[in-house]
Amino acid sequence: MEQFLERLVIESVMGLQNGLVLALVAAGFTLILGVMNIVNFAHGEFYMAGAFAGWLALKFGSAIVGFWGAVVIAGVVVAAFGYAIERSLFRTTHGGNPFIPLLVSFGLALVLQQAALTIFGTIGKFMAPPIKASVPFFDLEFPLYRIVIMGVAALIMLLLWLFVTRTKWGVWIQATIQNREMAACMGVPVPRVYQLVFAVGCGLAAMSGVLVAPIFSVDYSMGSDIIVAAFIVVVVGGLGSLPGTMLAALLIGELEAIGSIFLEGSQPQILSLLVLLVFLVFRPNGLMGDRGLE
Amino acid sequence: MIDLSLRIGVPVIALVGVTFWLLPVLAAVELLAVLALLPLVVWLLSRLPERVKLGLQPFFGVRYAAPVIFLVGLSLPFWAGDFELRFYSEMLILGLLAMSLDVMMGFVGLASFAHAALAGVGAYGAAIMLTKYGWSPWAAIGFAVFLGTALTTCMGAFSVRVRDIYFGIITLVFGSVAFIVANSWVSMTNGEDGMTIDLPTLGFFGLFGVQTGEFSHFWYLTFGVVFASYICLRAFLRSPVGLVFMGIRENERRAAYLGYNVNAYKIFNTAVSGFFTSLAGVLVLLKNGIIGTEQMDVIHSGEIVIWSVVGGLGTLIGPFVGASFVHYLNDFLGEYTERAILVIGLFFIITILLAPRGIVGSIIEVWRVQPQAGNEE
Repeated sequence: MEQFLERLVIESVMGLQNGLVLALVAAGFTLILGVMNIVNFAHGEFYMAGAFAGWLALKFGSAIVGFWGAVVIAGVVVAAFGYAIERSLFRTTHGGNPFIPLLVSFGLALVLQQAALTIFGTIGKFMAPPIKASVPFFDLEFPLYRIVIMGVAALIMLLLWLFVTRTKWGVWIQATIQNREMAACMGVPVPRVYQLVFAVGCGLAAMSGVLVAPIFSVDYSMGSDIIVAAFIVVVVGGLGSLPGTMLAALLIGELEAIGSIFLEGSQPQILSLLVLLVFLVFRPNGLMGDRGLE
Repeated sequence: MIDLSLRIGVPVIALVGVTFWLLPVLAAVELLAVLALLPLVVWLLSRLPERVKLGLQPFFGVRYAAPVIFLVGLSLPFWAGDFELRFYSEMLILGLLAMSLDVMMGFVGLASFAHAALAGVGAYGAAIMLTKYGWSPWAAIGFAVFLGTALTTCMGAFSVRVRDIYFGIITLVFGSVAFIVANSWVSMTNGEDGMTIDLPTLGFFGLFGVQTGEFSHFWYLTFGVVFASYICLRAFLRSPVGLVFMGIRENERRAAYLGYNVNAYKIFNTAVSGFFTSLAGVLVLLKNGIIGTEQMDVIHSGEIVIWSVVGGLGTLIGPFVGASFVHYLNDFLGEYTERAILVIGLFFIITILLAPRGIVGSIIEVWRVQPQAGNEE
């Protein structure tokens, strides 16, 4: 029993950390979905691209940048990449059939994943954690780095929330989520908002990719591993709502972590599906979605 | 203008670059030439004089084409070898899978990223009943089709509660969970090892038996099932119900205002699609004699989407063309590289951006005689 309690506490701390990282990925996804009406299937691939960008930055530039420098570089590089993708692939599809960007992003996900597989191979890349210390936690050593990640992820979420609620561009983003046409009529530069949101979303995914890289290894499939959980978080959290996304991410993260005590491998995802189904039936707008999904 | 050239330029340059990167020069040139042929054919067709088009049109209608295809199908085992028979059977099954997706995507506008997983559910249903419980082949097939249809209907019933754009997300979650269940319910599905069945003999009212292990028998079975499925679906989608589906696709709100229960129609549509998907899954099982979890992978579901879109959504025959064409590309690329899907994915993106109607849809568009001015539809 004591052992079980110990495991429970450890898993819930892990779940908190996974949930916070998941929130970063899902926040970009939900903003892109809310603002641009694009289900970005390639979002997980931007997360993976970020991890690879960080790995490359550390491998070839470790003399100049440290780990945290790599996080920033990956965020900026992938945000620029996302901006280029938005300009080239999604720009002309706005306002048309929402099917087209959906399929484009699905094709993009396949292409990016296979490109990573071709370039980097199947073997995962190892990235050393910047903080090797650990804190005693019951009778085992809990890596301090995981706790630092939580702080960093929470800080980035807070900054994002401040950006969306307190700045001019943030208000434009909210306005576009609420009513695209009306926002455009009131002089919000909607195409610029699209570009910004897509770039920021990709950058957030990339940064979270680098953050978790020292915990998991960096490989081509990491994007598709997280994307299903991110999808569930977005639907449960509610469209375009950052607090909802945060709550839902913590919920799903904890659920899968605690579920992993009883289940093995990727089976806890079945629990997440059950949560999703319950929400679809009883609360299709999600936890905090103020605009209906219907 | 800059946006347009970016949209066209970036994916095309990426495709050309990747092709030359992965393939030897000659093969890359050949592949790109084949791909460039598609727009060329469409352009040439659009230049045909109207008189010629009008004269030729009836021969491409179902009244002439169906009997010809039927006769070709019946006579195929007499002039094709075992390898070809197996190859064509596979094409037809892939086409059936893509067509069942087209019923949802092309006619109502519901994108499903779970079709490989749903077909896998059908195949597993049959395999489990045949091996673990020793059911007769017909009972096992019936159960498999029922299971696949029920699961698809269930997925549809949950997914219609949110806007269409979320439908894809929810199907993807369903598909990946079905994959996890197949992988981890080892006592039922043998996990990653997959399930092997002894190819059964299907008796038809004691008149004759179809030995599914025989190539010619299996060809007749597949051809019969796929041909009948196509004819049924074609008639079904032209019936009043099918017209309501298309009405929902064109304008969901207006269909609701006209008094149609949009959600019920959508669920019904997913059920129909699920029926044919699980039928295709059973055929896959009978063809290979083995079903593994890798067949339920999300990438495989994505391939089915690619087949339908490349062939042409909403045309019903297009998915067959798309499945054959993409399968041909896959074989061609497979000789040189393991990453065929990289090239195919880029080709898919270009198709959506430049010709969202797909191969068959584009051809139909230019093939149709333009109505005269003042005589518009």
